[in-house]
Amino acid sequence: MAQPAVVVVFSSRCGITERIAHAAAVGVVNARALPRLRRLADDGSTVPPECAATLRRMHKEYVQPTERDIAGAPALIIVPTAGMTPLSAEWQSFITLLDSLASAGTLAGKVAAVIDVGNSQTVASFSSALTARGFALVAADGSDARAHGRTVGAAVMSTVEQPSR
Amino acid sequence: MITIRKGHDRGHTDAGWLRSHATFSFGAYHDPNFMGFRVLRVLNEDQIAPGKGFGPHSHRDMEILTYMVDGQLAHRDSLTGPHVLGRNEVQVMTAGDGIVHSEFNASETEPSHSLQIWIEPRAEDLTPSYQQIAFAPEDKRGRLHLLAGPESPDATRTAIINQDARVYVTEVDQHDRVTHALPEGRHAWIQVVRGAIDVNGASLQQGDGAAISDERTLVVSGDGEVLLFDLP
Repeated sequence: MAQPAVVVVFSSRCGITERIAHAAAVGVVNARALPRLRRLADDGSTVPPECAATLRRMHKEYVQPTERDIAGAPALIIVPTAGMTPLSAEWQSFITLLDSLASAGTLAGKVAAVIDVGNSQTVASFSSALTARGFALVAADGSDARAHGRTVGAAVMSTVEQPSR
Repeated sequence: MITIRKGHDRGHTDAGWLRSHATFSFGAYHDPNFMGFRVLRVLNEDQIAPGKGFGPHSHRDMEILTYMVDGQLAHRDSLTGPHVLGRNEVQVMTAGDGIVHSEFNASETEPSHSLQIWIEPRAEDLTPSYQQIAFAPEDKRGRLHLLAGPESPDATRTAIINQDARVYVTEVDQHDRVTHALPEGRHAWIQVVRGAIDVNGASLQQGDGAAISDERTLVVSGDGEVLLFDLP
């Protein structure tokens, strides 16, 4: 049985949101689905000096999300830095990518979730953006990113055809 | 009975930054005749270019051991880190019900050379954990040093794995004969890390492995370093 993939897209400069994205990915694994972690490109703004080494490491460790990633996965989890919106510079090109896929009908039937990073306006703005592009939102089942990731993983696993006898 | 798996017959991957030899089926390399041996599921010899590595990815329900041959690996995971693993060290990660980790060559100038080993756990949904054990080079010279097993006589020198399997390392020269008793019903896998050795009269070179069943005593001699897996 092929494992369904869940793309976990996050923005992070200092590694804090990265850790939350990892927790969501672990939740996906808990549910026996396959997370694919993708980090958005920086917007070019300067980062605090204490974050420079973490930023260099993340540049090395991650690739950006592609149309193929999103098209090939039944689910998407978004982990935005607190305070960001879909209009924030780091997210604009990703939202454009989703627009392209939505206009081609590629997002139909996919599920998505926005991980709460402590800012309800951030969650609300990204949730609206995903719903508008055709995703069915999976609400948080629990108070943390791991539990939310597990719920998304369980949602996609429930769609996998079980072998018949 | 000793069945040799020649090093040059292993699955080979060359991605530029990664040169890998898979003793058993792994990733794009698939051979139904080599799906593992007993609870030993994966045995990959990886050479990673300076500064390169595997980005964050997930594992589940596997005991994952990394043994360094040369160089250093930087490890991070969803539990802990960063850690740097070097020679005469072994890392054991229980993936359990889910873990995310990355591993990169810690050097920007020197390649790394390591063995990654996957052992099936005794149960699913275990609690993930991370262990890193260092030992003195003399601990493995002319004798077996227990790297990992289901219980640890000394937690500072032996990692615990969630399986009734024991992983030993030894380094022999022409003066040494290292023996290991295999109780009835137990099996062994020998993997040559470097050099050339004999096990019960069978000659093995660097990269070769051997599946061993129905033998009560193993005698390792020659000039090299080997991992010995004592398996149920």
